[in-house]
Amino acid sequence: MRNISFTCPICGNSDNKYIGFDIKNKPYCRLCCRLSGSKASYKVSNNVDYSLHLDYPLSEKQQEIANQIKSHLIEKHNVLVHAVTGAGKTELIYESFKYYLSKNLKVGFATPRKDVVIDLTPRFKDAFPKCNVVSIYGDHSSVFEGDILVLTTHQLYRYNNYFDLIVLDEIDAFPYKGNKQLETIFRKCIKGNYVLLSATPSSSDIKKIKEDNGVVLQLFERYHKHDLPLPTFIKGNYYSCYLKCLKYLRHFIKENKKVFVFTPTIDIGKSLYSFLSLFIKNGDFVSSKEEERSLIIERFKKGYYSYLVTTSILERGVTIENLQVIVFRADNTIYDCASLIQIAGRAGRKIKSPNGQVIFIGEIYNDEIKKAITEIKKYNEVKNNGKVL
Amino acid sequence: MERYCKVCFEKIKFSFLRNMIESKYSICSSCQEKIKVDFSSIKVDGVKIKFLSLYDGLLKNMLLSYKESNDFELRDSILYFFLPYIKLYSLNCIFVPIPSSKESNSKRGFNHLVEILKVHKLKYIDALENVSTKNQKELAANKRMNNKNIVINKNAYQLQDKKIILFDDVYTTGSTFISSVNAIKKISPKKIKGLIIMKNQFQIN
Repeated sequence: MRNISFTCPICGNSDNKYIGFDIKNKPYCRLCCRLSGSKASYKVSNNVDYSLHLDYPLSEKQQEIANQIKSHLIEKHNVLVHAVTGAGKTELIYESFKYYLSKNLKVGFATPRKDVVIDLTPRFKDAFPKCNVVSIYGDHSSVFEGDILVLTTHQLYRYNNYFDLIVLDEIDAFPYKGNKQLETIFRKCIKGNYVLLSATPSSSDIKKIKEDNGVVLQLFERYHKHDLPLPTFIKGNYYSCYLKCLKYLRHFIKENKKVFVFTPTIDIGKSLYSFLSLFIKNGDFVSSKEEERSLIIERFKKGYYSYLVTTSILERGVTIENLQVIVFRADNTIYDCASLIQIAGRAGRKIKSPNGQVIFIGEIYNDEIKKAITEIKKYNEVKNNGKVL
Repeated sequence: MERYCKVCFEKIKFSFLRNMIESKYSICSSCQEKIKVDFSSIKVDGVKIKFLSLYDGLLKNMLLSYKESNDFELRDSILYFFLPYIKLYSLNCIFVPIPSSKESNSKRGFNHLVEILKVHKLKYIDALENVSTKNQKELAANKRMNNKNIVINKNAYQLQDKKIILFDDVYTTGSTFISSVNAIKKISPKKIKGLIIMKNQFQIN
């Protein structure tokens, strides 16, 4: 490690421990040297038909918020949308996308998770059937230009001062949360305005956007107007947690419901799956290290499996019909209030099955679980009484 | 002076004993433990090849970011763990790095194998040259054998009657290695051995 003053032009890092020297003894940034690839060039699209097609019309509240977003963007304000899980955050920005596209401006939808990109791309294709929707993530980065770009935050380094409207989903998700490099890359790709979407924004996020010429919009009602499922906490000791998990899993499968069992780490997930698979056969385990994870998730959606033991990779952006959720060892330090709310939000998202059950299993009823449950209660109260936070 | 691990960027705890034994280290002990050691050897065309590890895990990631993303600082961390063994194995021998195509070398800006040998002060002679137009990686396994494009250059005559070690990073089908052996046999060295860092297990039949 040598002491020099060097600031990375891509990610803005200036910490000496992340700076290396190449063969010509020139400094380079070791944090973002992996993000080297071809940059996108600015092309104006020839498409003229940007018609919007929705399977379901937006609810009243959604329509109201969508209009507000559009009018704020026209006035050149940035927007943070604080909406509960399953409120239909993605649908809120379709209207603004249509407006920007019709003016031949560049729009993009960024999210930290690769799985969310894969999940969202077909939804955008359905909504804008005449548009060229391009998804860009690691291992899938051959085409960079299109009408609508759906991409991971890592891929944003290809677009310098490019987007007239960029939407960033799940701002509190790993790896974007607290990563200064990604934040700098995100700031650099903005040419016009940005919209942030989150179900659990921290107070610093809200403060930051208010300083940055922005407004906060809130939506505490799910698309189907039912309450958010309220988690129940089940207490057990180290061993009985396994048995209780099995008991609830059996109960759900008897009622022909699909189940996600969330585990804090890969090792705990493996040990739990090896126990559960002794009793219930058609399930699988999925984690970030599994090479065929998209295939397993695809199979689960089609109904080959009745339950899936998973790590936190499926905690966001996944919509599956008739889903129940069990969180194994919810008192683990990995889970904070935000991620517990996200996980609880997986249940009951579809209009055909608006009610789901969420069960937290753990040894200690700790502060994070308490906070998550009271927060969800608060959202439901606000929705039912029409108060504003 | 503070030291940081070049792989995980964590601060390395100062250890008096370690400082006495090895002065230049740049990888922390917890990262070292993650490197899976798997010594094995096979014989190809009468040449014995030693492998140090499998093409997997941390070492694979390190090699990829060194080779593909030009993370030049990693050049001394890749072989660091195996260095005592390599020094014993290569007593009185001269290393001959197996060349990669000129295209990928110029894209990278350096020859990755030569830089590894240079930083560990191992004796080497760059005696082989790759004149192929196509990258070996892009070819299917059965076509690689016909793509023999490795020739000796003028440095090679220094190697007459010497013990040499052919050195490469990854062994997949062995076609590059065999064509290098055939090329180097023309100058009749005293002995040929092989040392390859990683074995790509899945593609060897």
